[in-house]
Amino acid sequence: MENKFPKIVTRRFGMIDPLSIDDFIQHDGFQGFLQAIRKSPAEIREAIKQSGLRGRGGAAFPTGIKMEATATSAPQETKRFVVCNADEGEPGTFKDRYIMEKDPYALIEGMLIAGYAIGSHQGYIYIRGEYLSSITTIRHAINECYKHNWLGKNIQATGFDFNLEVFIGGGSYVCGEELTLLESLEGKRGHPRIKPPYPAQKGLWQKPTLVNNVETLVNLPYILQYGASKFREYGTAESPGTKLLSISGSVEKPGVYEVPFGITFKEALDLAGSLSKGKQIKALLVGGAAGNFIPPSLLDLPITYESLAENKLTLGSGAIMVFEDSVDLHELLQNILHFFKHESCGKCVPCRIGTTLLYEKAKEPLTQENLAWMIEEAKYMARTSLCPLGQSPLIPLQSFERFFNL
Amino acid sequence: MPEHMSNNQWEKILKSFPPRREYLLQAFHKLQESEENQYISEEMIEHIARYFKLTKGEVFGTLSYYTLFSTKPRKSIIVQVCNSPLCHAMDKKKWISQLLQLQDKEIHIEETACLGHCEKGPVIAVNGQIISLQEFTSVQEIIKKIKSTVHGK
Repeated sequence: MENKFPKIVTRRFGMIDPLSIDDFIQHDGFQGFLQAIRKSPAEIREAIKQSGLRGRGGAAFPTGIKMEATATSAPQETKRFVVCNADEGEPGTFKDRYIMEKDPYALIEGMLIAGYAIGSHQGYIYIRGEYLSSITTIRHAINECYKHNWLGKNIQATGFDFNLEVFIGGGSYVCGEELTLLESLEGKRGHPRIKPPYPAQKGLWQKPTLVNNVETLVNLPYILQYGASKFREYGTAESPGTKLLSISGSVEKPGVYEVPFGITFKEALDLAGSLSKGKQIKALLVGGAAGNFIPPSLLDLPITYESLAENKLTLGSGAIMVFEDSVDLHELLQNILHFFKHESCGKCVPCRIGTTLLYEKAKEPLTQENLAWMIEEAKYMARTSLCPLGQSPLIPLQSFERFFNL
Repeated sequence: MPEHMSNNQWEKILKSFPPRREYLLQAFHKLQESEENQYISEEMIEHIARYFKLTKGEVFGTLSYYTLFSTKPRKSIIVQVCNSPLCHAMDKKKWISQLLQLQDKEIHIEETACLGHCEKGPVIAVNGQIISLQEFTSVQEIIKKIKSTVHGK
């Protein structure tokens, strides 16, 4: 089925040459920033709060509130930073790569707006080291922006200065967690910090720092260009706007699809085409390894933060992995638990030892007793680990027990 | 590219970064790329430590934390085999386990977490370049493709 839904984040995909700054400008590029710069930073933050935009990386925290906290947590003259989290490591997620490679200037525009809104003049884009072509594309776009005065000093004679630099990650899942990412950006091992303080208070080099996901930032130009109420025409009251879904697995056309919040999983999957003849869906894994197994009986559930929360589920990064009936779910569970074991940074003992215990247990026959044991262990880890990694194994395990009971 | 870069070349690469700790990972990437055997040697670590005014332990501790860096010499072709849940489930012909057992004098094989190219899964990365395994019919064919990706046809 053709995707006829309105587009915000992907509106330029395929319409422009991603490398050409002229093409970007001719397609409404930088209009959101030029609107923003005419207003005060407080007005911008208000508009973003009004829009109801929530973080698209997985945690769904209200972006405007994060901005307000970062802008007001310290005296105005304090140095502040904007950091784009492009360390897209959640298994099954590839939407940010699409954005960076198909509309890189939109991300820069989003960062300019975020910088202006919080009073920051320095931004960093932290891209995972595996995304070589995203790194090349974004670097090219940054160079072009410097050349054409869309970055640097006194941007387009607006009086606003902003510098932007790319940092390449070293291959570590846990660095996708915002405080861990900041440690890594400082050139250290990717170990999570104790929070609070949150990045808004003490982030990069202990300065107030706004950390936002790629997709979140690329929503900002649209909100500033067309207004918060236009943005709110899409989605639902509690989940305004659209979401990029990374759909993969047993579908005809896996890929990235932008959909308004509120459509059902079934409608979303229809965009990616049906399963091959005679096959049936056994399960979806929604939100990545730190996501929920969802049975085919829930395909009519609307994709919104609130409807998923009501069902004790989460959307996470918007990854939807589709598994057909021939897939062995026990093997999949082992695979996920092996992943957590490998990616645990080792700082918190319950996570370091717990992820190993879970993986070892998963190799045994998957009895009700074993599954219950794993869930108890994962609950303990969730209570005693600093960062989401140690808290995550509980999510797939619980959903597995709930929907695929043996 | 010379087999072993002279210290001068390392210094040149290091000097392209401001001597502040935040550039440590960025320097690792550049130094490793420029080394034929794609690793960071103990000798290099000494240079890095001196340049960034860190202890060798601090440099090694950071270096060894991240999976994209190696402290041991590797073969010239690095193949990362994605073993994400998605690639695992889509790997009907069991390429992943076959590739992970592969012995080849040119190819360094390692298992990796999700490479983020799930729409083409199962995938591998050959010196960073993504190849989908969907269309292949034999491991030999995959190896041929790996080598031609690096050496050209």
